[in-house]
Amino acid sequence: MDTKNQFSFQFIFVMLLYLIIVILSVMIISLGKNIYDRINKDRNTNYELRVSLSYIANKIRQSDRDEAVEITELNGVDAVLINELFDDEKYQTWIYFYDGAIYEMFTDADTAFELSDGMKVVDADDFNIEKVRDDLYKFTAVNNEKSSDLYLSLYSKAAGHE
Amino acid sequence: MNKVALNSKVSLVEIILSVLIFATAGIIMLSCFGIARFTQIRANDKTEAGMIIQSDFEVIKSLKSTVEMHEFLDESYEEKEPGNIYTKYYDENWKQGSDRDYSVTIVIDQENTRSGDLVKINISAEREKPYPFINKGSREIYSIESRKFFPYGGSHE
Repeated sequence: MDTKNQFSFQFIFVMLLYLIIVILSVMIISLGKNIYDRINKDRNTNYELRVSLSYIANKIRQSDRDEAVEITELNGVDAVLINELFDDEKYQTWIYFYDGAIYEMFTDADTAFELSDGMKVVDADDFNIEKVRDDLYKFTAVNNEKSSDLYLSLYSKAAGHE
Repeated sequence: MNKVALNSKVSLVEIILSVLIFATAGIIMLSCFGIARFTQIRANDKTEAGMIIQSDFEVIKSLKSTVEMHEFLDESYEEKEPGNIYTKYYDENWKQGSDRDYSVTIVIDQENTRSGDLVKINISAEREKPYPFINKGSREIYSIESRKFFPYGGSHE
């Protein structure tokens, strides 16, 4: 009878250990999944915020000369307008927010186009341009309820460069 | 019956060994998860700190005199220490406020010349507590050093 009891106790103990292994396995897999999800979400948000603002900053710095960069309105939305000259022909690059993304449109000067004609650059929940001073603008990008600001100084509009 | 008891003992030792191996593997995995998580947090912090520091630099670069620069720093930064050191604090979500999880410090070194003021500017962002799981030592996240010349005429450099 004692041996039987010992056997059943050991059997229950072994099964208990198996159960612990299974529970811990599920916990570790679940924890790993949660951490991976958070990392992925953060990475996407980080990428989209950084790319949207860095893209605009680089575009502006690239063309910031001789009044080439303007902050203006396009069909009621804030837009960056970059005027360029190639082979004596005037071209314009428009960067604006439309339908949950930042778009870019390269076109002949003064050619009319729809907001949907542009090329999608990066997803964003919102994008705003605020004029702080004549030569200083604040760009705000919002993604996954997280917003990021970038101030940009237009050297071509600063006093002494005109 | 004795044979059954002996087999059970052997299998019990095996199970305990496998639990130990599993526990070791689990600890290593949890550690890897921790490293991955805090590496991502550090990458996000670098982006946020970079945006803040670059923005402040852009604002300073757009100003026309050292007086305007000090006005901007007095308004934007919370603490001012002697020697032209300014510090502002951010919470864990990089919102400027009462919590002090991150700090951005600007050190101004001003040199007066006959034609204007040459200002050496160093802006750095730091995390108040070191990142767990990542033994990098330094708490500095991002740092930029530059110079700006403010001519006495008031026009730009």
